[in-house]
Amino acid sequence: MGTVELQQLRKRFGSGDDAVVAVDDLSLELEDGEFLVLVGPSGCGKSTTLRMIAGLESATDGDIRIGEESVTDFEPRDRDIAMVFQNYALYPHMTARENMAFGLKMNSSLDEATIDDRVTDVAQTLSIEPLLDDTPSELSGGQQQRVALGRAIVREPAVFLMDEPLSNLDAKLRSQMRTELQALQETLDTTTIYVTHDQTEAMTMGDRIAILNEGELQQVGTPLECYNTPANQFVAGFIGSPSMNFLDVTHDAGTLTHEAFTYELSEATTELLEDQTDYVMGIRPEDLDLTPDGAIDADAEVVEPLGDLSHVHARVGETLVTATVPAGTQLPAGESLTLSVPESRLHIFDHSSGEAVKNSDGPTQEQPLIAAE
Amino acid sequence: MSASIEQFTQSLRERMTVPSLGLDDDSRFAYWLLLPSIAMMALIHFIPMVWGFVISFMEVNDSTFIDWMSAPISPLKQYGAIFQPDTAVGAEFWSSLVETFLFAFGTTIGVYVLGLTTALLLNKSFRGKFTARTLVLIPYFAPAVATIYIWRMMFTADTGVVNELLVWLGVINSTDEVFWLIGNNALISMIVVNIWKNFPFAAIMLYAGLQSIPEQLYEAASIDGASRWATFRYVTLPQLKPVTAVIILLMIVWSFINFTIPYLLLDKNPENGEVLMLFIYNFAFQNGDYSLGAALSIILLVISMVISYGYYRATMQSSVQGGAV
Repeated sequence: MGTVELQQLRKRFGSGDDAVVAVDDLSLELEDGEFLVLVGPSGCGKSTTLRMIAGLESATDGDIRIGEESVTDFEPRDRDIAMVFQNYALYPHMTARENMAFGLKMNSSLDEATIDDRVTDVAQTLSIEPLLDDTPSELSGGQQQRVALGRAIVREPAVFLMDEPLSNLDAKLRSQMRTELQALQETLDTTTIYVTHDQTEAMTMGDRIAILNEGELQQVGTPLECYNTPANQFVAGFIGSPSMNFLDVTHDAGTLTHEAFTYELSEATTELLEDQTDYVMGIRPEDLDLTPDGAIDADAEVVEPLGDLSHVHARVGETLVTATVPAGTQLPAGESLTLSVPESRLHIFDHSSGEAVKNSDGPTQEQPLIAAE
Repeated sequence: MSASIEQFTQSLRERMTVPSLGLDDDSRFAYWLLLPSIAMMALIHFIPMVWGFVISFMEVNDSTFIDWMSAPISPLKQYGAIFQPDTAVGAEFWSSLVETFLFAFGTTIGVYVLGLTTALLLNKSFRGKFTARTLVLIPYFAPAVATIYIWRMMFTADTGVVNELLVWLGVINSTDEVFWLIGNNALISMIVVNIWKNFPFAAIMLYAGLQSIPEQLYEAASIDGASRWATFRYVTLPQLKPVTAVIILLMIVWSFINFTIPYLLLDKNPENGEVLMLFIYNFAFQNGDYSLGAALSIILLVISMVISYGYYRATMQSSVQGGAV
């Protein structure tokens, strides 16, 4: 069983005044076969969490359970895990075959022939069979990545741990490997914890995403949940590219007031707002429409054509916002324009705590493309 | 600062009108700057080597030394004598060569094992690491003459601290003192002193090698389930292969040409432990047979070169890639 459970996991580096809490009170549960992406900015504690699960760092407090067993005090080799490192960490003096076989030689009672068969099988799956007799220095970055994956897969562990495995690849190869990894994980059906700082990887690869910031878990949910119903302003800003636009507003009797515009709220939304006045309005770039009679006055600054669509960067008062517009849209710098956003797409956050008060009505579950009969 | 250096070199180039020698301007200027060093190297190394090679085919000795150019030329006399067992030199050459090999072999193994152990200890985190690292280097940097004489005093049979220590440890009786500097033990003493003198070099080289092994390899090995021994065997040692190759090569060559230790430790003319360097010295400078000494030196040079080349072919070429250098 490849279930993983983290219970109030904590990691503190150093002691006294110099102590740094890298991971604070983190609790998570993964089902068998689940693909969880741990995502967050640099220094948020995601790699430390992964290293604690691997046994490369000891937990200051809390418990790590893999399957039915607490492995918190186990050596890495006794945890039934395999890890793919950011820099691959292939043994430079061994061939690809020896690299892949090393774990089985060290940690299993299999005979050489069986090990060799398993290595060959995995190499075939990853299309690296012709490279098995090459050393890592003879392989390209993408090939090394496959060998590193093969080294993990061949051991048939209960859990895969992947620490930013695609970050050293170029954009095209990264995109290709992303798809391959997803397909591979679905085929193998092995529980996977994948660490990345890239929100695109997080959105596209995982069954669920866990977003960390400053050592604390911000939200766990499906990619769509995190995108459309972010728990707080941090998640809303971190997930999505370009980022969500944030505008500081004050609320008074169903009207949100910004220095450059006012926005009337429906009764239902007004009821969600409490007595306080300071809120942050959150709007996804794709929800901002360029309309002649929009409620939000703005001045165009730059248009970024991306081919299939364009991003307009415009100033609303002192705040720079981004709107996604159809390809070919042309706006001279400084041109006045008005933007609109339907209330259903609006996010509202508490100004002081950052907690979400209202989220958009976007879907939180994937919709089947073809309805079942 | 750099501007003034540029100005200086530019004005130097303008003043120096040198023949082109078919080289481009930059290369020619570089060669002219290197000329003083090349001249010194020639004076100190190349000229004596060539001269040694030349006189090894002559009969230069005490009586012909002053006017050595008119000494008789006898191309194969010296080499012939060396390889004939019934000559004075031939009778002892092979045993001396064996002593030299044993000296080099013992030293290399000892220096590497002690150097690696020291490097592994230095690679751990502990208080006083910096001091320990400095102390380890002392034997290497201490003046050879002083330290070898101290070793000689320590090895003295009747008053030396080595025998005293062995008696105290109960290894030998106080009446059975060991003669460390004569007989078969002389070779062991030389190896011990040579190991002591050179292990810091290996330790620091290997320490630098250990420092350059990526931590992630150890992490990968621990996840792969490798024990501490297996990690050392399959990660650390292979990663140290290039630096190991350099140390072993240098130790073999340095032991072959080591003169200071046998000369100072055993005195000039020992019964045992007469390694080739001492053997050469005795024939050339004690017996005054310079041509014979030169011929023996050439043989030593050839042996060193053959061993070095063979070793290089066997290990260095294959081990330079993918390890800590």
